[in-house]
This record gives sequence, C-alpha cells and structure tokens, in this order.
Amino acid sequence: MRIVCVAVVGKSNNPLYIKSFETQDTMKFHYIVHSSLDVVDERTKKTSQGTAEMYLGLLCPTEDYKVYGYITNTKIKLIVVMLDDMEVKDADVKSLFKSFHELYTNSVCNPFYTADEPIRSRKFDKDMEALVNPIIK
Amino acid sequence: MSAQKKYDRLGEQVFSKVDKVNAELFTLTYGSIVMQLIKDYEDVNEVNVQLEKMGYNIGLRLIEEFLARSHVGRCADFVETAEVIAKVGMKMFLNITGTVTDWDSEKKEFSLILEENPLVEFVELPEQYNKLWYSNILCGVLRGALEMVQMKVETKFVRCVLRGDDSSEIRVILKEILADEMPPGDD
Repeated sequence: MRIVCVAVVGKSNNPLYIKSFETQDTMKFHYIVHSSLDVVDERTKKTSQGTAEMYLGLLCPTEDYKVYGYITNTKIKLIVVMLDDMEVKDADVKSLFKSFHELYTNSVCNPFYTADEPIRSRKFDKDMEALVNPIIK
Repeated sequence: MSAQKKYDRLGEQVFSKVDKVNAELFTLTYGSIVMQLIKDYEDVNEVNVQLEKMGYNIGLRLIEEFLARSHVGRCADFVETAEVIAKVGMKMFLNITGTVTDWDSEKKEFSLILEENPLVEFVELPEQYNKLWYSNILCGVLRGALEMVQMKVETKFVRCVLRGDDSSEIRVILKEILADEMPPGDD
C-alpha cells in the first residue's frame, strides 16, 4: 500500500486534518479528498436504513490514485488516498482505518480539544506518521 | 529494603480490595473539571490555586478512607510517611507507585516522582496554558491528607510530563508537626 494522503473531515465537510506523505502537489490531494466527499455523501444516503457499517470501501479511483473512505457514527469522515500501483486487500485497509479511528478517538479525548476544530495535536501527527510510514516502506 | 517491599505488598493488597472505576471516565471527568475552571477563572495561576484547594478538601476526607482500608499504623518518621504515600496511598487511589527521592539533609523535604499519571491520559497542553499545573489537585490532596495526621506541609509541582519532562515531580516540604494529641494512657 502506498499511502500518499490521509484526511479527517468534520460533520459539515470541513477539513479537520490533512496530511500528505508525498512532497509534491499537496493542493491536488486537497482537491481529491474534497471530491471524494461527494461520493461519501451518496453512499451514506443510500444506506440510510440504518447500517452499522463504518467502512465505506473504495470510493472513486481517480487517475493513479485510489481513495478509501470511512465514516463514524458522529459523521466524522476518515479518508485515505493511496497510489494505484498494486493490489490492496480490503482487510488491510479496514485494519488501517480501525487504527486511524483509534488515534482520532485518542485526540478527541484531550480536554483541550473542542469538537469540529482543526486537529493540532502533535501527538496525533506523530502517531499518524508512525502508523503510515511502516506501511509505505 | 524490606520496609519498602512491605509497603509495596501492602499497596497491592489494598488495591485489590477497593472498588474500581473506569479509567477513561475518571480521566475525562477530571479533564472537564480543569476545562471548566479555565473557562470560569481565565487566569491560569488562579486555576492552579483552585485545583489545589479542591484537592485539599478531597485530602481531608480521603485520609479517613485510607487509614481505614490500609490499616497502616503510625509512621515512625517523615521518611516512613513518604514511603507510605508513594507505595500505598498512590497505589490505592490511582494504581500507580511513586518514587521518593531527593531528601534534604534534615529529612524534612522530599520529591515524589510519578512515572505515570492517569489524570493526564490523552491530554496535550496548548501553548497558552503553559503555566498550568494540570494535576495540581494531587498537591492539594497530599496537603489535606497530611494535615489530618498532624503534619503541615507545603506541596508543589516542579516537573510535569505535559510540559515536556519525562516524569512528574511533586516537592513535599514539612513545615511543622501540629500539636500532637498524646495517645491515651500516656500520663
């Protein structure tokens, strides 16, 4: 899995955290994440009969990237963008999202963090790097 | 030293017998207390004072529970008191053990080092609250509890993990031994 970007998006589709693991074109990733939000909205509307499934799977394959989405019950969206170079197992992505979600939960538990605010936690940043970097290599 | 081992064991024993509460609930509750104080008082130094006061009130009551549960007898001297606090008291209420170090020459001051602290789980201190001693309630608890056993102490934080140090340190200074009531039958 070659993860190039991870993002956390709030309830009103406001970006809370975006981090790219590739030096060029961070604006491009902003754009990709933003457009994938539409797909997220579509998918969640369709299944509004109340599913417990948080993992949304592959949202939209664009150019050379694959975008995966995950939505929590509090309408926080976690987006992962990766390079389309090799086969990726769904189970791997699911477990990545699970850890991602856990890290997000930990940062929310900080009493100095108010909901729907951009995430400025240094620890979250470091932990995300630690989560993604071993996978990239 | 066998005295230390004895208190370690006693601490474990007492901890196993007391009721427990969910750690996250505890941490989140304390976090929201601190946040509310910050909102109400706005001045970080005042929040430190209030946390200490709250702790003091807790300590006055906590000591009874501690003595009843742990059955620790009278400590021979301040050195023993320090060990009991670190190994039995901290273990019973927070499930952590502290280390007692840095005694002064007259054995009236010591440092209590806390490697871990359940109160600060998940907490990150923003820059503007740099002067906040987040766990200052612990200082108050120590002061209140020791006052009820006739020791007047001054307690303050000198290091805190939230400020970037690798462990937290509380300095405890014995100011005076309050008027001793003579044990009955000691005429």
